[in-house]
Amino acid sequence: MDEDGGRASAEDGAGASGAGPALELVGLVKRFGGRAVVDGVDLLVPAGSVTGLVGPNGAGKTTTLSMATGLLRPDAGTARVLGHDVWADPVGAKRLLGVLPDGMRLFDRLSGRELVRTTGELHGLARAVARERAEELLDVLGLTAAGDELVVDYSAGMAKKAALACSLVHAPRLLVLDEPFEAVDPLSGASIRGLLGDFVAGGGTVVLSSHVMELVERLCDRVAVVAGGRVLAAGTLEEVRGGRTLEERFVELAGGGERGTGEGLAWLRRS
Amino acid sequence: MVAALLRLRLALWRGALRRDTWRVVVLVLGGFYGLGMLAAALVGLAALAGAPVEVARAVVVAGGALLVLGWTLVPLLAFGVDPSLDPARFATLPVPPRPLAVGQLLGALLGVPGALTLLLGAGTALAWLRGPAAPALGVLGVVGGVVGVLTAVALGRLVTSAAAGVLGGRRAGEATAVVGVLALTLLGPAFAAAGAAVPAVDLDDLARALDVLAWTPLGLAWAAPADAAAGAWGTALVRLALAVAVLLALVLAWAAVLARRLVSARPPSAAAPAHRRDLLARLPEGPRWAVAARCLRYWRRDPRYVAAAASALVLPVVLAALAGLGTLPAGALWVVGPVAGLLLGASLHNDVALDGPAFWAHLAAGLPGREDRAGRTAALLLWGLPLVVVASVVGAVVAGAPWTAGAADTGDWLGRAAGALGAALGLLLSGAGVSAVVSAVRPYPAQAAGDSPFSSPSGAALPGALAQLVTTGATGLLALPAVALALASALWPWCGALALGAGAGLGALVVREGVRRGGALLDRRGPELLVAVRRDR
Repeated sequence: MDEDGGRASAEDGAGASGAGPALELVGLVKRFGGRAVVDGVDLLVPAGSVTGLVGPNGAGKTTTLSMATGLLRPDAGTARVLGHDVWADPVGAKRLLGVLPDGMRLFDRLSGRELVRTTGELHGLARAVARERAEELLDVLGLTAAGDELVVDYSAGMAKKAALACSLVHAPRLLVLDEPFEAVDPLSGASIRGLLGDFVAGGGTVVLSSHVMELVERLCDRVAVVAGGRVLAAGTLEEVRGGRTLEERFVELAGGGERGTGEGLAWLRRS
Repeated sequence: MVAALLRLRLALWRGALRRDTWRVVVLVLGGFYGLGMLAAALVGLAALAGAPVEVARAVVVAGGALLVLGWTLVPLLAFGVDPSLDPARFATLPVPPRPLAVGQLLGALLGVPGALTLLLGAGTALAWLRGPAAPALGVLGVVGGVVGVLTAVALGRLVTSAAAGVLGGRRAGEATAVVGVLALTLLGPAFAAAGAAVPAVDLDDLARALDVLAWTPLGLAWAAPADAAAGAWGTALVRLALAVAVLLALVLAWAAVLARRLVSARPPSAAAPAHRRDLLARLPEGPRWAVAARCLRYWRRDPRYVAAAASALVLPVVLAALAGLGTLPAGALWVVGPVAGLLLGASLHNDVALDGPAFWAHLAAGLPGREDRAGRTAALLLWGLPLVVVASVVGAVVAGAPWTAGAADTGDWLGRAAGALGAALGLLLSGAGVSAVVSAVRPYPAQAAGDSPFSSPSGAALPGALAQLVTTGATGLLALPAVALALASALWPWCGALALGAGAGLGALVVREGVRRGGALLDRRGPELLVAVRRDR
């Protein structure tokens, strides 16, 4: 169902960094205890796009992104990053991939500065390069002053920004961000948006998940609606919205029908 | 200013009592209990007036010193300080630090424990009511007791404020947790040692220790009336003057700490000091050394690692102490190095679980498994190897160096020392190699970094015991040649050199194989390990 939309705009966005999708998910399946949390996800993310993954809680967004980034082994299906199979050629794929997982701890007994530098060196960067990039990233994200504080003492938003810096330090071509704006204040959100804009302008591709529809509408040129472990709709923002707001369309796709009629909970209303 | 603080303290108290009835109950019960204890203590002290001066002196000085120690250590380890007059709360007000310090000092005495302690301190005067100079002695006793109690409170406040200010809230909590674990670890051996030592202690030794104590800040104030009671009024006044000087110095130091905290109400987060980072920057470049540097920082900053390292270090110290007290024969110190090696080598056997979900960073970076293993192992060996070598050598020297005991000849001793060192190296290296594999097989639930070291995660007991058994068993097996040769060197000292060769050579081989195999496991099962450590949270 998303194939057509995916191909159509793959051509729009292909100009940025040559042919081929930046991320290609085919038939991804993950079961936990017999229940399919992700039930055959197909998704094509054209290079140079900013793709938003939206869906209700428990839709399988995080599980999908974990499988796409080599953190969770799928039961079936493949994930390719710029042509490299994440599970057959992990080193080739992970070199091109920057990840910001949701709900995972960081090595939080390091200072922010040490964390970003260490991550760069883990990716095989020379120490001098890792140091230089760490300083620039901390500067752009407004973390320079807190650079020597331990990450464990950071606020949630600061930790998110430190994690974002880590995902960027090795200059990936594809950035996969799970809930990047959660707990981030508006000012930091603006600086993150600016950073992502620069990244895409430089030929990078971004995939992000979010609950906030306005944010996805403002930031993304493509959208995939995920619910019940499947992709319900995917394509350019206009295609998916079909002339309405994304929120209306999302509610319609992802389970507006399940909503009660409002007859119940009468005891909640004051008589 | 001081009066205002005291009124504030009383008002806070009243407010708290009015709000919760049960607090009144607790207060009354606690008060009666405390008063009962106080009465018993006072009766005892009055009885001391009939005892010889030396006896009264021993009881009052030792008890007083314990009181000071208690007021210093108990809040640090267990309860923390009553926060109702927390200096951070005055940060927005123009309060000068010195009146604040004095106000807090006196405010502390307004509580039930403070008031009882003050009465007890003043009550020590009862022990000195003797002879024709009884009234003067009584006055001196009250003054000395009050100064002693004030010193106790001031020292306690200074230590807790300084710890909280220097370490920050989180780190202070972690540091005390580590100290608490160590204290518990040491409790058993300490009692054993004390019990074994009591019959051996000479009363003269005790008296000498008391004399020293009486000149330390812990004992100065308590010992002054004792001097006077013995007729040495000059010494008594000197001691009292010194005690007052110590008290003043403590209050001033405390005011200085408060002044700093008033400026920065939030204790500054502990920044990573620059000079240490430079030391780690001397490590070679490359991913495995990035892992090693990260692990070395964790060995220093993460209470779980600090506690593990400390536990491995405590045992040799305990053994040495027991040998020093004569509870154990000095020959027992031969095993200091090997035991430290065994404990340190096994310390990494659940290392991926200690990372917890943060382990994703290694996975997302596509870090080759052997780089991960090599980095962790290198971080341990970089400080563990020198430490085990030192422990072995020191143990061997104390256990029977030719120039001390004169029992064995130098060649024999060298052989045995080499044997002990070989066994220690063999156990450390084999343990590190085995841990590199075991920790990649199946992590079992570990405490999260922020948890109390006293809490144990559910479901950890059985798999944990199993993993430790496997690790220790495999380590013992692989280090068997070195250990066996080391034992043989007790009879045939020439075996020591062979033990050293076996320990270092085979150990290095085990490390290499462990890193290789553990790395291959990690490459194959990295995502499954991540799932496991996430589920265990």
